[in-house]
Amino acid sequence: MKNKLKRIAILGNPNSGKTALFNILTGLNQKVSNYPGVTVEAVSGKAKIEQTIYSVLDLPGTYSLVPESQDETIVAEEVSKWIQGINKPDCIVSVMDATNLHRHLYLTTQLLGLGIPVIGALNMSDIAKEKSIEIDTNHLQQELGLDAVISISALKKTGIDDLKTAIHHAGTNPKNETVKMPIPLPVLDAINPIIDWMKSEYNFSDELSRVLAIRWITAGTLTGINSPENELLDSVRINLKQLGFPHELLEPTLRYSWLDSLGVGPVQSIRSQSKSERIDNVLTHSVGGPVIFIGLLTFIFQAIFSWASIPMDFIDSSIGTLGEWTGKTLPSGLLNDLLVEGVIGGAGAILIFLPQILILIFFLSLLEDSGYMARVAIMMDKAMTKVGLHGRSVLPLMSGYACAIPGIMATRTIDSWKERLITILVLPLMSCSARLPVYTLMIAAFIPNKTVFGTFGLQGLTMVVMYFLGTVTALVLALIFNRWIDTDQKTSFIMELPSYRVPLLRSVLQQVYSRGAVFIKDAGKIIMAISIVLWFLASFPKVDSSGETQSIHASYAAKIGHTIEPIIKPLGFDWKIGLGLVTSFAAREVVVSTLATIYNVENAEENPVSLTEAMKKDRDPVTGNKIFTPLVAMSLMVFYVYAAQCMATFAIIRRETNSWKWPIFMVVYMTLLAYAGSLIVYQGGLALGFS
Amino acid sequence: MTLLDLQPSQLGIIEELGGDSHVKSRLMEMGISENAEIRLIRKMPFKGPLTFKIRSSLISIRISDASKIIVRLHEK
Repeated sequence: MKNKLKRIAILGNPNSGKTALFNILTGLNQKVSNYPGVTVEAVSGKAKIEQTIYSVLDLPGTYSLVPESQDETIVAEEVSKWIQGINKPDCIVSVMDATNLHRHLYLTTQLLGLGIPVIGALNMSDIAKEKSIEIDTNHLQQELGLDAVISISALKKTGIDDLKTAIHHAGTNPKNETVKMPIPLPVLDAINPIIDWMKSEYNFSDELSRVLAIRWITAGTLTGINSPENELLDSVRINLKQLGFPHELLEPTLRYSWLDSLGVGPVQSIRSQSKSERIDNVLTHSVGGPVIFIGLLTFIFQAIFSWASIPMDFIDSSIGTLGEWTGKTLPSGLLNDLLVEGVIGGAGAILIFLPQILILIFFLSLLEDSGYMARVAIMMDKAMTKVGLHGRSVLPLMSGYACAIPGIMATRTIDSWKERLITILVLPLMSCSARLPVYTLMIAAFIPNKTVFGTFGLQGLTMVVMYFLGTVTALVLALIFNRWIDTDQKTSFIMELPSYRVPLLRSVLQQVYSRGAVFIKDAGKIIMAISIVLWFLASFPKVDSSGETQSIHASYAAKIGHTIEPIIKPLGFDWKIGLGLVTSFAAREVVVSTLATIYNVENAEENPVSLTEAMKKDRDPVTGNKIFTPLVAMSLMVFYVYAAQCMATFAIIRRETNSWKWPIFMVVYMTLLAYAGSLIVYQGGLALGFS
Repeated sequence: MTLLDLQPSQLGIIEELGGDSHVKSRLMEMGISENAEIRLIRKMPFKGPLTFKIRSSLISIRISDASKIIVRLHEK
């Protein structure tokens, strides 16, 4: 007989360390960082506890079961399912920050009365100890009716065995006795009609009916549960008002007075200045703060260009050697050509850019894990509001420098729909790491390696300009969309600033690794497949009807390219680039492998070719003009700053906005922008006498 | 006086939470309740958010919301 899988659910306030605990229990590597709201979706894994396999659910952080934003709604909806008996866990682990217990207990008390055992996990107990905060765990457990209270440190991995034992115990022998939250008698009398309604309508237990009645009176709605008719609510609210209880604060008032009466969580003095506050004196200084932020960004983008060059040269020459070796070792023929020109030359060309992407992700993770990003959010909130965005838009937008997908997911923490939608719509304009190969290739080939303004490398500066162009355009468009999307929804900004910490090397490297793995996997699958198809298209027909050997200009690939050439000619692009524009709809970096494959086929006698050299040499067979010039390179880079070439982004916007309208809108506006931007650069450049 | 009238590093005691009911209940859920001690840390320039310390947390809110939190000065 097979037992039903036991379930554990992990809940807690934002940034309390739920995901760190989840990773320890399940051995998975979900992203952990130091910013409130890193986890924005429910993730499940499996853990072995006392010879039993448990299914573990990690939920986004929330301050309360009355949700304010999308990530919090996910939690409230999950809990309301449990109430209705769906996917009910055998045990809830409520993760709390031991250094800020009073506040973190609020959510824990909301989890009582659900008929599910609750274990309090006091995380960061090591830091609490350093601050000499003492917590009487037995007292806490008894007074609140918790199944257990365990001190742990997810960082130092202490207390985990005790927690596992407690989970196992609660899962097999639940206490089944609940401590009821005290409610003053007059209040209880006033709300009784609703409690009775809950009991008769849903057959809920007395305790659960009380909990839900109070929440419904307070919030006016209940996530996932139908509420009684409004006349009942109105009359109860009037009665409460007469008792001096404003209904909108009923639940927090009752819960906090309960916690206060228990004297839990010794409150630390707020007079002393913490280390984080002293760091903030510098990092959020009214003048110094923004200067440091801009300085950090400039440094990161310069570093991407300069630090990566050595590993890039190494990968480049290794791939060259591999191509040469393969070409010589295998018997010559179609397979040899396919491997050398299509697979190694095409898909291999992409791997060169891996070091840059890893360096970018490394720095972005450092900023986030140190606790700095929450400060950037408050520094930028005012400016962001001016363009119709939100302080919480900053982290998603900056994640967009790595990849639009996690950035769009991260917008779930923005509580107003309008600001969230605008953030989603402009986010693909932030130059993601898939554009890096395109910029790098064009810059390395066509921008002179000079030093300007004393210290800046012209190449690195050009890169910064591309990032700047995308970012500024995103902000300007946000301003326009803001005028245009009408709603009168009120917005608020409440941001908790986490304590600074030295970034955890483990979680930073984890993020670097997972992004790098995705990049390599894509190179191995999508890009490899496209390169192979492209190699065939570029290599055939080998001979024409009269039996003469054909150049690439008569190939199928050229035919396809020539069909779109008239549309892109005004931008300065020839058919090869046109083909790259088409293939990069799968992913932007594909344009690089496309060009690499085409040039490898074209220059088959000197395999493997250097892509930059081939581009520099390439001339139009009819006019004899160079195909690539610095102006064409600029035009192409501007095109890639703006163009919406990413199927995955389209799909995620479709999912997050739950409509076809917005992803289609994104593609249309970005394509127009790309075309117009490129046209202005190329035609304007020609008119000014550049080439 | 409101939270806005506190000077950086000045201590106050919250007398009343006001304003939008969503903000009010969220602040309350985060432990910002009447009679709690509060210390203003910093106001961002150009009327940006202000940061305060309450219990053990550093929290930032916009000044439009801060102006609806009534406080009195803490007498030592």
